[in-house]
Amino acid sequence: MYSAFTIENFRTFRHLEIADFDRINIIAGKNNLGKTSLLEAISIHTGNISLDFILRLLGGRDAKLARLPLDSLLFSFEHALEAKIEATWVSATSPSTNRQVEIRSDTAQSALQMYPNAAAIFLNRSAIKLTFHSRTDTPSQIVWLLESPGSNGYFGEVEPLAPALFIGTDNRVFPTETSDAERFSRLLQKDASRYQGMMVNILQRLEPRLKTVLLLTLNNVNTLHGQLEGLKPLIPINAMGEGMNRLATIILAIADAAGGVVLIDEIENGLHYSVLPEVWRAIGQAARDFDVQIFATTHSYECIRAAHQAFRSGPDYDFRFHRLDRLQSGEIEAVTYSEEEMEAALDINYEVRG
Amino acid sequence: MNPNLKIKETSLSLLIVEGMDEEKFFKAMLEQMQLSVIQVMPVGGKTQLVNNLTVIVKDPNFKQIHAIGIVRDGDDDHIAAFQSVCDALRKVVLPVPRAKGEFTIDKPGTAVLLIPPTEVGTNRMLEDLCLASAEDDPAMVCVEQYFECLASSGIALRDKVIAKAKVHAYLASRSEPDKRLGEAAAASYWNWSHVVFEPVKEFLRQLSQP
Repeated sequence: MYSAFTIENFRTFRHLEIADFDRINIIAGKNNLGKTSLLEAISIHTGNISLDFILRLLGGRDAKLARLPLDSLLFSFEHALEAKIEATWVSATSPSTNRQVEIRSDTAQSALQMYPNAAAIFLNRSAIKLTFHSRTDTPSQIVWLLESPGSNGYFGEVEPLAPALFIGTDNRVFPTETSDAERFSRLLQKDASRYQGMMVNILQRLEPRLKTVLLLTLNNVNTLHGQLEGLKPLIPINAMGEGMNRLATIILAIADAAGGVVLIDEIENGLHYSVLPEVWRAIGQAARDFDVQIFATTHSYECIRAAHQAFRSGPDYDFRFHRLDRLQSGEIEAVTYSEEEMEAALDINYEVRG
Repeated sequence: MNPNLKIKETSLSLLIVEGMDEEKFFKAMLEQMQLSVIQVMPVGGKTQLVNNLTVIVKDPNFKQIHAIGIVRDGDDDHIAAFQSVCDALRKVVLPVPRAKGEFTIDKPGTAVLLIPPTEVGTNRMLEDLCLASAEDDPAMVCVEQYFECLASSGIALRDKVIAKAKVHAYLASRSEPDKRLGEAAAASYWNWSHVVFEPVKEFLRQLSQP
């Protein structure tokens, strides 16, 4: 798990220090302060870099939209700056790893020195170079070239510190190569009765009539279906409502990222306020069972209150609330609340979201 | 439920009070004094002061606050009431004033206003101050007679609630007779120009200064 991050010159952050992470973390703050950017920084730091995630980073959070320049990853789009993301990953099964990721905007010729053939092809193109430093290993590098459609370039590789999945506001999971159905299939392969029971139990919190969850192949596409009490046909989970789909995606992502990190942007999307405490209990339980650390952004006070209440009444208060504030200097600062501070704030209905 | 407490972007000073009645009372007084830079924040009773100050200092707009006034009923022991507020300020690492009514030099300046600031009434609470401001109102003669009548009829009220009971009796004589103390302030039922309010006004004037 991560306990702290130091980020420099990345997106909206000139210099951000954020600490006291716990297993479950909610990040709030006004618009354009960098909540999603923080999730992106964490995702990059884990080393789970896929081309679709890069496209998302440069697509204004939507890969279908026009791409941002590569320099958009750097503070104020300042080409000359070098961004840094530093943190220590602590795992129960392997030694702690301190890693610093440097992000530079460069020319393809310079960034691709290790790949002379490619450098010759992409001459004069602009590139982003990520260098992953750790105390024990030689640095790893990834170079992106994203000049225009059809000429996407991706060179190098890095060993991920741990699995990491990023769930966007639209419920797309990055990397996108694996579907919910695939994740559910992997679980069933491990222990069919246990994990089918787990999914039904969790989704029943939103739909009490749900009796079972099954995989169906229709038009050569595998999808999760559910059997509802009193209904003969199976219903696709994603047709049971945004909330059911969202919760299924989150839980399956947690299971698939065992021992790693799940990042969820605007977690409350599609979820009715009344089910949020149960949703948080389910997420907390799954995160503990699969040893996953959660980072979720939200704009919802009800979501924050529900998380606090769910974890305060549960076996462990392994939850932290963090808010990003903009200082008068323009810099972004992180403020973290303890359990007692959250209790005091919510007790008097105090605004904690900024 | 949406949150209803936060430091406004236009606020430069905070006046921390106990409950909703005090909030309405001081809001009305500040409006009458045209001191819009002071924001009144009700944070609950004395035992909640430390917790709630912790929350306030974490507000994203706290850094713009240059002074904090904390209003407390003096109750039976002015010294203990003052010390308890000082202990709360110390715990959240805010400057601690040397004496009641005095502002600290360190920023944000803090000061404690114990009500009533001068020797009036019997219960040393906001109600005593308000009753003192109404001393020349003809209705107060009737209020006193009413309580004498109660006593002579063997209906004894506890000392601690006498001032509250008299406020209710006094406010029952107004054109809208069902208002509480704070609502009465908003309706201008208290005589803001009475000299008994002057030390409170002076405190608020200092609180509003940069």
